[in-house]
Amino acid sequence: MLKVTKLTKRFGGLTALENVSFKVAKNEILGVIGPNGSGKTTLINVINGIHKPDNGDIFFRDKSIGRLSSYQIAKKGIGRTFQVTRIFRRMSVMENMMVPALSISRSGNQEALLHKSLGILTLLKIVHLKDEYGRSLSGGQHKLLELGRVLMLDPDLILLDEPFAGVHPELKADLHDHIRKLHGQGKTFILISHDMHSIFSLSQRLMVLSSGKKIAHGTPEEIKQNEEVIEAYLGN
Amino acid sequence: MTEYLLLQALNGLIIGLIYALMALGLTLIFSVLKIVNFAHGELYMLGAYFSYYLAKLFGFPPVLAVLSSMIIVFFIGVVIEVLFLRPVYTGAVERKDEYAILITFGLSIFLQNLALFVFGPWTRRSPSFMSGTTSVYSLSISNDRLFVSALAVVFMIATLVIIGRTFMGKGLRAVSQDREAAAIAGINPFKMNLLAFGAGSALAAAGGALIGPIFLIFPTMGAMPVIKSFVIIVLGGMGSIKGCIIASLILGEAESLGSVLFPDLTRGLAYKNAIGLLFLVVVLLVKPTGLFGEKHVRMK
Amino acid sequence: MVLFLAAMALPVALDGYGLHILIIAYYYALLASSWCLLAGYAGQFSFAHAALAAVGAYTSALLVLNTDISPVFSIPIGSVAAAGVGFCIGFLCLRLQGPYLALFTIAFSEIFRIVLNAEYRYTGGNFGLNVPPLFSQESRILYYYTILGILILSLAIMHKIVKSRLGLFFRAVREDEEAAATLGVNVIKYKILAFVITSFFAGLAGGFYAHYVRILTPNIIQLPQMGLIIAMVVIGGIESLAGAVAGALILQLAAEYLRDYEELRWVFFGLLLVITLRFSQNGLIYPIYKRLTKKSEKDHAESD
Repeated sequence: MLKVTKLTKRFGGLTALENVSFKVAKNEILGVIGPNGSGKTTLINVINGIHKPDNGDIFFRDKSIGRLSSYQIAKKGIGRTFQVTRIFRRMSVMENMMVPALSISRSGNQEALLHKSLGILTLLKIVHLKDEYGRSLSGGQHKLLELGRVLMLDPDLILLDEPFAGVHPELKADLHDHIRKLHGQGKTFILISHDMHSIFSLSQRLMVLSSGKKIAHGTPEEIKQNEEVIEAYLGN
Repeated sequence: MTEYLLLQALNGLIIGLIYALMALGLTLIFSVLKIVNFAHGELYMLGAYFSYYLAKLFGFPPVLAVLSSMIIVFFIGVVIEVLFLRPVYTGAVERKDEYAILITFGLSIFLQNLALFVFGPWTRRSPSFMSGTTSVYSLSISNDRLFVSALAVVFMIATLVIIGRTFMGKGLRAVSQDREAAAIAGINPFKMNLLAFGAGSALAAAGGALIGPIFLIFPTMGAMPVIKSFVIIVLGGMGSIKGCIIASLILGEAESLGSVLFPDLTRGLAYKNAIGLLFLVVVLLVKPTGLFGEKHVRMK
Repeated sequence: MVLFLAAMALPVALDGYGLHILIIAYYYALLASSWCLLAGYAGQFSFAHAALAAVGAYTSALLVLNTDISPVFSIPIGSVAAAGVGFCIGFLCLRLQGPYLALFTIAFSEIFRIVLNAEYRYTGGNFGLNVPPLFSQESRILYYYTILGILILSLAIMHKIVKSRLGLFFRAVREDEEAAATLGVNVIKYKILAFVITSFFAGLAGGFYAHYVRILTPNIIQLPQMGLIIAMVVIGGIESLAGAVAGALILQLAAEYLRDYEELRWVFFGLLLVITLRFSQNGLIYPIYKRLTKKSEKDHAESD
């Protein structure tokens, strides 16, 4: 579904990603781990068009998306969340949901879209907040709303950037459920997390980044035994 | 013609120094508070009026009047910071950038009209620092202008020394680079805000007080110089002190010489003020970090 | 509705001078509401709005003077010209935010003002440009209904925009450009569109103004003019078109009513602006209105 070839991204003198290549199969959950500053968030930013790659390319369903803008990539079916949530603070929860809904369907039936977002909000258990302003929600609710917003894009591939950071244990369990359920519905994920327990239990395959380079990939079991990975974590 | 050009160049230098003083205040405020003070021109105007009245009504000697006026405006700046800008840093306002723009712009309207009401629309001129003119070869220049330039240089050097060499200056620099880190290191960023805004205001006041004997004093006198200072801080790179001083001199010269070199004299005079603005527009479009700015600063 | 009828009926009760005050108030209401759409909704704090009104005004005036075209056509052409300039500003300012955008638009306005002053052979400069009137009859009532019609129509369109997908995207862009882009919003397009649409209305207001007051000077671009527009919107309520209109009307009428106080009233308005910003970021008028309507709803509910 997604193929990344020899991706390189530099910021001034700093190389954030160097020659990173990997593939994500349809309906797979790929976990990406690595120490702080290893280039995980940059990877997501490049895939979804916030940064343009300096070298290499990204193919989504065999079409190059490396040169497209964020909004075009979103419309092609790649959604993402942010490490620090970025809710539209002075817009209601419902309005937050309607932005992606209306961006992908110009002539869409408003009623149907409203119905759809209510459905998603119900699923995420935040439907009672639908008329609240984004700024009046708690941190955990922001995480849920952000996920809901992404789902309104009907994405096939969802990039989750630290979805469990600073989240209440109860909510974390809920998020696990949501991801599993969506995975069951055929969604594909790239998941970044520092939460080793979560990422090892959710991912089918893992990729390890260190200083912008891919140093290992494999099943969670393989990664647990990989010495280079242990080195990268403990060495730092 | 050469003589005229030289005279213009000299005038450009003097004007450039006054601009530099004012823009230095703006730079100091921007580097610490990360806001552009749109009321800067009014602080300049207040500086001119206070200095004028201190000299006229209380018989202060001109230099003392300038210094006292700077102190008064320093405290006005402090009050403005506490009353209106503090909320930006305590999280009381939602959109900091926009709030800061609107509140300082609002203050400028308020202060301008207050001055119009209190001081009246008439133009005034401060007493001269030093009468007479000095001639070097065939160039003659008024002593006031020379004296003003010298004082401007003194104020600038004093500011640079305070920022570069003292403990207080260290605090200012630390906060300007990283508020949180500075706070962790035991520097009170709120205190530095006060200090930076007060000192920045005092520098604007110095500009106004010094220009008093050369140009006229009136309630809207700050409108043009403040735009020049905007040009300077953009050209020099927002927050860069070195850039600010170099840009002031470039602007002063560009205006004085540009108007002379313009083929049509009346239009040349009219377009004189557009030269700097054109700089501003082009710099923002081509290299928003200016000549010496490091990066685009935006409040989080 | 009541307000609309009152506005329709007012000319009966007023003399020429009263009408003049209202005409100018409506002109400001159009400027204020369109700036509110640009700044309050789309988040682009431009200081070029008065200059864009001047683009509309001078384009229309110069067209009539040089080509004998009727103001009925030249005013829309002026508005389109303003929209075109708005497009350029929007395009050039795509990367500029916050204070940088403010500085850029101030510089643009000043340059435009200086050019208008310097090219006095064409624009009349500071002596003013004599502009032919919109109507051949000397009737204030005609102008009154014209600007009222323009204002109501423009507000209806802007209201429609605010409630539509476009308005939603404007606000999303205002809140967080990057997040909006990752949700499929073409940020560049909507930012430019915000400038184009609001500049059109500014140009329209300016065009009408030119052919109503019949003398144009570059002073309509001065920063205090922009300050007045901002004060109206901020005091009215920056996130509400109705608030902006109310702010414009109330400020303009108050300025007239307090005429005897001369400068003092501007001191007062300046203070009001600063205090509103500091303590009530949704404006003064809009929250009061909200509270009143909520209360009356409650009263209704109780009496039922």
